[in-house]
Order: sequence, then C-alpha cells, then structure tokens
Amino acid sequence: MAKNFSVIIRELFYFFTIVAVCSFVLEIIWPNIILAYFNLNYLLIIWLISGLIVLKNHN
Amino acid sequence: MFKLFPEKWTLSLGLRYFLGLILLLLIIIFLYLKVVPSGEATYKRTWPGSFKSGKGFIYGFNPAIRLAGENDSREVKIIAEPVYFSLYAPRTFDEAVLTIKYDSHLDLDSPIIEAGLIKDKITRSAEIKPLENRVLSGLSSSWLTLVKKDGYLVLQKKANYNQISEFDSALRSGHLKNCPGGPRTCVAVYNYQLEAENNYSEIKNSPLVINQSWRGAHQFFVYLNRGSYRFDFDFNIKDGDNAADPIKVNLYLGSKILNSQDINNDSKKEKEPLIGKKNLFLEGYASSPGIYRIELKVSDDVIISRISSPSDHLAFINHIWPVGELKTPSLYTDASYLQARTTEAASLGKIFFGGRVLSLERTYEQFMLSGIKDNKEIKLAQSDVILENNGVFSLFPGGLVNPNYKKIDRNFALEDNLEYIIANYNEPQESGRLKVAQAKFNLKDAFYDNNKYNFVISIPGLSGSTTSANYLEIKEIRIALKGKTLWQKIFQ
Repeated sequence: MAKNFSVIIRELFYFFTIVAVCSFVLEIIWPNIILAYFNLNYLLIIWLISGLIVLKNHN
Repeated sequence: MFKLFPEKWTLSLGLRYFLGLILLLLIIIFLYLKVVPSGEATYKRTWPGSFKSGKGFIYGFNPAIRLAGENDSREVKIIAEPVYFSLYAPRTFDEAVLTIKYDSHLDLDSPIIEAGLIKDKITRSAEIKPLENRVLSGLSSSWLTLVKKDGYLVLQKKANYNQISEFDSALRSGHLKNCPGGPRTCVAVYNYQLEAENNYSEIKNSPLVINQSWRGAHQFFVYLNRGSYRFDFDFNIKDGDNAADPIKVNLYLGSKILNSQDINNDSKKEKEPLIGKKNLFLEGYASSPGIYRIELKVSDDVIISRISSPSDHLAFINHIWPVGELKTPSLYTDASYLQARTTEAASLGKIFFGGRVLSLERTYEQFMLSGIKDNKEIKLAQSDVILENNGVFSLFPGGLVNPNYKKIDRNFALEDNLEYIIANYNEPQESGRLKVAQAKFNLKDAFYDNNKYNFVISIPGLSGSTTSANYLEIKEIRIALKGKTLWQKIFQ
C-alpha cells in the first residue's frame, strides 16, 4: 500500500513537472493563454508539495 | 519494433498513460480556447466577484485615482472619468457587444454615461457609444416621438410631420418645417452622423500662419475654395515615452479621408525617439468649396510649433492646448461653456471667458464656466492650459467655422429655434435597482495590442472624490465577441 502511494506521488510529481513546463512554454508563445483561466501559482504549490513528499519517501 | 501499448501493465506505467492523456487533453482545451474555432466568445466579470482561479478577461481598471477602491478586485465604483479597462481576447474579432449592468448614483450634473473602444494608439481616441443619456430621455418624454425603431430615434417639438419618410426627404432637401435658417439651426443630434450640408460657395480666403505652439493631437475645420491647397506643419518633438510614435496628418471631407501624410520612424531601432524639429506638408486639389477637417495625430510629446494654412477660416475642434509663449492671448469659441485644466502649477490662475472669470485653482482638476451667450472671447494669462468644449476655437471671430450639428451632451441647453432631435440611442433596461445598457463596437480598426482591446467608460462632468456620494457602481460587464470562424480564417 505504502509502495503504491509512493509510486502514485512520484508519477504525479512527474506529471506536474511536465504540466508546469508545458504551461510556461505555452505562456511564452501566447501570453495569457493559461493565466486567463488558471493561476499557475496553484500548480507550482501542488508541484512543490508533491516534490517534497517524493523526497521524504525517498529518504 | 515500437509498441504503443506495453504487454505487461504496471501501476507506474498505467498512471503515466493516464496522466499523459490528461496532459494532452489540457493542451487541446487551451489551444481550443486560444483559437476560438467558432468565432464567437463571451467574457464576463461580476462584482462582488467570487473566487477567481485565473486572471480573467476583463481587468486593468485605471487610473486607480478615479475609482473608490484601491483597485477593481472587490468593486468598481467610478468617481471620476474617464476610466479605462482592458479585455484579453485570445485572438482578433470583428465585433463586440458590451453589456454593462450598473447601479447609478449620479447626480444631475452627470446625466450621460458612455462607453468607448480605443481606436488609436497615439492619441488614445475612442469610438464612443451611449449607455445612458438622461437629457435625451427627458426630452423623449416631453417631445413628440416621430420614430423609435432599432435605436433610431427622431423627436419633434411640434407635430410638424406624421411620417418619417416626409421628415427624411425634407431633411435631405434642407427645407424642414419651422426651420428658416436651415437644418443646422433647428436640428440637434446624439450619436448620429448627419452628413454636413454641402451647399457651400466660394468665399474670400486669405493665407494664415499660426506661430502659436500647441501640444499633442489637434483637429481643425478649414474652409477651402475649389483649387489647389497646401498646408505646412512644423513639429518639435520632446524626449518622452511616446517620442517614437509616428506623426500623421489626415485631411477629411465629412468622414471620408482625402489626403494623408506621415512622418515615420525610419530608424532600424523601432523604438528610437524622433526627437527634434520635423516638418510635414499636405498638398492637393480641393474639387469643391466646403469645410474640410484636418486631423493632427500626434502624441503629447509633440509640439505643433507652426501651422501654415491656405485659408484663414480655420477653427480648432473641441480641444486646444496652447503651450510656450502666448502669441495669441485672445481666442474665440462658438460654445456657451468652457472647460479648462492644467498639469502645470505655473499655469494656475484666471481665464476670462465672455467677460467672466474662470479660476484655475488646482492642477489636474477640470474647472468649468457656462452660460455665456454673446461675446465668446477667451483671454488667457498663461499658456499650458487645456481648453475644451463642444464647439470650435478660433484665433479671431471671423475664423469660426463649424459644420457640425448641435449635440445633446451634458451642457445641452434647449434653445427656442430647436425643433428636431435625431439620435441613435436605446434606453437602458431596468433590472430592479440596477440598469443594463448595451453598446456595439466594430473591432476591425480597433487598437489591439498584447492580445488586448481597450475600453473606456466616460461620464462627462464626474470629477468627484472618494467621499463623494456621486458615483457609478459597475456590477457586471459582459462582452460578446464575434469574428471569423477557424474555417473562414483558413480558407478566405
């Protein structure tokens, strides 16, 4: 169970990383394409939390 | 060989495929919202607003000093005008319908609410459309309505006409009933472009050189006889934020542009300022005698230091900003009121208008003097004062040429000879205590920069303070945009 949880968190962390990169690239090409609908700060917070949990599980 | 799906699924692999699919879906959704394939989109913002996950589409209400709150996040209470805001549009559109729901706390001094779309980057000039005009609403209830259909409104003081077709043909021929002086003396308009009379004849014109300096964009009417003409303009461009903007001069007859010249920035560095002295001339042939309009489209960093005109029948329209040494301390206008403001403390003081005194007591504040009937002479003591009204300004009484019809604006005074009103106006709908007004704009020639269209809300006469009870509270703004579909964009 704990192993599954750490796998899910790790995969979510990878997912949020790719979403963040894609979002920034899209924002650079077409400003406001995402910011008009969604504040990327929320994504960064979730990404950071998932990253910290991954680090904790790793240790 | 590459296999799209693995033979053995693990939790990690399954999650990757699932989340990858979500990512793809998200990108497609955002691209769809960016492209707007249907060509139609509606953006809305309400106050007080609920939780906003993103920046939204309608924002940037400014200047903040004209709003009661610190910004537009909780409420939009307009206490002074004009107030600008932006609409983020993911791509260009052709048409916008702006719907505003508002709670009006405006007194009788501010009877008009208008909305505009910024059309020009340099002068920030806007296409203005009415939202509410209480002067016109008042007249609608006391005068006789000849026609009221799809916004087209014709009012008459007495029952001179029974059919709109009779009125239209009489107006076209220039022989309206009870109107001996011609339509311009007895017809007032609002948001309606009535073609100026074109039965002008040759008059005696002398060349005119104006050495007075004027700051920023100006427009003037000039009476030209049939024949060739040449205008010369000298500009002095100061170093400023807008010094790199081009200078453009247009000549119009009615709303038709006849001639145009500009000074562009030839420098490879696009934003390099055009500092220093420049000159430009406009020459051509006037095929008929009449009143032409010259538009000097320049930013406020540009001083128009000399105007040379083939005709001395020349009058500035609505707005003048004399700067530098006052070479013409006396000016004349055909309007019964005068608004003045200055940004320079050294220019504070008295202005004489029609023998009465208008005191400029504070900078950045507009002061007004109204009710002047005869002797409309303006005497300035200092320059760098912005003078505005709904008429024209000239350097001498004989120069006052104005083909425009009387407008129903904030300072409208009902005169005895006025018999007819023509307007393009829909009264706002009442929704409880709130009112809902609509304005339609053509976006094709609008200023579109950084994926934004810029709008303005104007309430002439509103210049209150944060403690004032005189304000307009916006409750909702909805903008419906219409443009080409993706299909039309690709194949046309």
